[in-house]
Amino acid sequence: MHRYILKRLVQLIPVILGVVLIIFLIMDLTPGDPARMVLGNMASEEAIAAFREEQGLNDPLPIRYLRYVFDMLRGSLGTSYRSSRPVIDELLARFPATMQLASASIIFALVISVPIGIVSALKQNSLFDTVGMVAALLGIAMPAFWLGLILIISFSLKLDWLPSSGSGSFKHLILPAVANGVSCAANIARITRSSMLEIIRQDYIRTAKSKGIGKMKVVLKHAMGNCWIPVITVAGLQFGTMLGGTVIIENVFAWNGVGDFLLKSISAKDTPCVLGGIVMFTVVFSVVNLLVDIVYAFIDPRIKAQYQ
Amino acid sequence: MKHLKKFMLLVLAAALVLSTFAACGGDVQEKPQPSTSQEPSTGTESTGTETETTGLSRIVVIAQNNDLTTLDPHQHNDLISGNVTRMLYDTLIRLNDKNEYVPCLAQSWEYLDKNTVELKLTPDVQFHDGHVMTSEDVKYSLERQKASSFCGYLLDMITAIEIVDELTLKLTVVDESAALLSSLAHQCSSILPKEYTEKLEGEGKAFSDAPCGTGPYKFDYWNIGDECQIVRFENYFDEAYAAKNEGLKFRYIAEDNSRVIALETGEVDMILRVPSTSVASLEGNSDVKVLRFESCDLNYISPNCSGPLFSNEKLRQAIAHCIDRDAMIQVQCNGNAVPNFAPIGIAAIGYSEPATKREYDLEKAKQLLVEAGYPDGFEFTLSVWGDLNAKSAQVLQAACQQIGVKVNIEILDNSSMVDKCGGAKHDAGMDNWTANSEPDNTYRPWFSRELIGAGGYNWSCYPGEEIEALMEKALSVTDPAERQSYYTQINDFVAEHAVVWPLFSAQGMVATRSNVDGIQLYPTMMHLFQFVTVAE
Repeated sequence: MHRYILKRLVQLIPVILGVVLIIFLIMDLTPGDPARMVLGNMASEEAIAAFREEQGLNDPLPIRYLRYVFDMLRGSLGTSYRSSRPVIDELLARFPATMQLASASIIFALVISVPIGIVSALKQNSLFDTVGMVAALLGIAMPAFWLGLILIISFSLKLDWLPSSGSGSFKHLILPAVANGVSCAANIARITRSSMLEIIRQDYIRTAKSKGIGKMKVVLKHAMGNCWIPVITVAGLQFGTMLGGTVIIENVFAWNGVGDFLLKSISAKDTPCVLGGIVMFTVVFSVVNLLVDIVYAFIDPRIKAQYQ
Repeated sequence: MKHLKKFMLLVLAAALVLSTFAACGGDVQEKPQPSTSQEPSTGTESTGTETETTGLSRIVVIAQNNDLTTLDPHQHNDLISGNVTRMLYDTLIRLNDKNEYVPCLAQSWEYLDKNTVELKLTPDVQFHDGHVMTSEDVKYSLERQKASSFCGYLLDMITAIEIVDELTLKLTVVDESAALLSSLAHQCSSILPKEYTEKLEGEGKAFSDAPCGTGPYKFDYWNIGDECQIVRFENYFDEAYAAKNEGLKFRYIAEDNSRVIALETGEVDMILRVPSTSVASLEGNSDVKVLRFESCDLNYISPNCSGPLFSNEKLRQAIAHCIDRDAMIQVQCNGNAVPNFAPIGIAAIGYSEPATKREYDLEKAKQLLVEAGYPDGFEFTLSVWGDLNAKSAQVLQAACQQIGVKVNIEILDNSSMVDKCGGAKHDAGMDNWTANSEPDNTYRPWFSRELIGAGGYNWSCYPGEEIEALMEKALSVTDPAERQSYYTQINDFVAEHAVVWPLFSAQGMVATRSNVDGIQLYPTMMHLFQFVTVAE
């Protein structure tokens, strides 16, 4: 198991190098001079030339790429062109908020969706199943910004129960977590239902039932064990994506996360911030996927056996 | 069962980790307790706009549509950061609400000869750290600013700074120029404490993280990407400009609708840059008021006057007559703008209504098209920044179609726009511009011939020397009326030769809760917030 984890972490290195190269190429190929974008419309040609020289923008792409990689190995992600602050500081100022929102969203999604999925499967074609799955369909179809605004209008403007924007307290977290978690919950509910439907028709479940084991015990002990794999796969992927920042939710709720920061950095051609953000996203996404794989081993002994 | 238990344990552990992270998030987001409370002090009754204990209004919460980049006044030149830095620092000269330059940190200024200006500093001005301002601080600050890539250009006319005594300096300037006063009054020309700044930066810390100035407010805290709070400076030197509230909290709310809702729910006291689509609903809300003012904004199209098509003046004039400004104002600003025919915002210093106003007239446009040698029309690409501007572009597209001219609209992001139009690779480019208090800061980047194709903002690429000659004359005089006469000539020339196609000046709008008063609004958007009070 340890060797497997180590192997996966080592595999991250070429992935990061590849990602950095791709972002370097994309940022280089897109039009616009970072110096001009950062210094503004009144900057003199001398100031722009000096800025380019200072930031090493006049060097050829391979040199800039290698310099970035060496700096990265030394733990530096560079300095923001716009704020002159270390990129790592910029990211660390925002990542906890993103982590907080993603965690709350995924917890909300799991708490809502897994029971709905299970009950829908057990009561297939019932009214509960139909309503649950239509709701899931709506959850997937509703654009997050629209849902966010509807929640704000309902719970902040009309009912005055919750703050409409900002962060800092549990109350601030509720609306963005719900808006962010709904589509994820809808996906998980559908996966849970289809997975459970498949499992409860298998022979070993029939055997368990015929032995007189209670229905709850059959579902929770025997069926759920196999049902978790696809659910955790989907939840893990969604969680990883959320950790990359959810620009729309962050904008609508003025949530200080990395998504909005990354978007602004892209428009301003603040390459160090874009690279730093993407590197962080790559690492976080890979680590989440690795954690998901480790969780598999705990759930399914057959997978664990493969690691050993 | 054994595995299920293990799994449950893992879930619990994960939940613990997640909640720890969530708590970490909370820590980072947690606002340091300001020294003054947003609520009235405990045990005091709020009476009208003031609290009994301090006689001041509570902290005012202001929402902006963008995030601050820095609190170092020499490391930015943007309005969003400027709204905070203007409150933290002072400049040597102040531009008042009547567009007059009045003393601030400099008590007086005088041209000893055409190359030397003597500045007498205001005595007993304290920095937030308690240190008293001297000539050393002023010299240091101006030199620090001159070295800045962001705003050093503002002081290009100053070639030497000499300290005469503790409160007197001599500036050696290239020539007598009105631009000196506007530059010294610019938000970036802020004065910092030399000793404090050198010590801080010597320790490898950023000045932006612990800013210190002479302004009516001192720094309290800044949660990067979220909010920044500044609190009243008790020892502010100028009673007339001292803060009438306990502090200001600037919040970043990017989304237009969310900003408007935050105002409606009372989470914020004021929003800057009101989205025009929300004006009607805000004006129908008795808890909110919308304050309007004439702005220095200009929406415009720059034809490439050096390009293969629009080097033909008649062709430029023909398209200028296809601009239906009223329709554009309606579709893009919901009517909240005024038509403009000059190449500078309607409330900006330098503005004048041009002698030739090229109104919407398709018959005239057809006639000019024939004179230009294109009786059967032609095709050109209009590069547009942003979706909002595309609405006006479509109005022009529809009008041009009626005279046989095909307009291809190309929507670009900001950097692509600057790359294409700044590089003179365009047919015509559409954007908007906010002028500041110095007209040369608009006319020069727009019309300086050395900037054609250099990647800047001379998108009209007009090759003639007429505008540049007038620009230099305007810069070389200090009498405002004489200066204005040169800018009037530029405006007339630009309109006559259709060098730029000005469209409209959007109305400036700020919305506040109905119990908020006292904001001093400036057409340049550099508003003053220290007089704002909130009635409880």
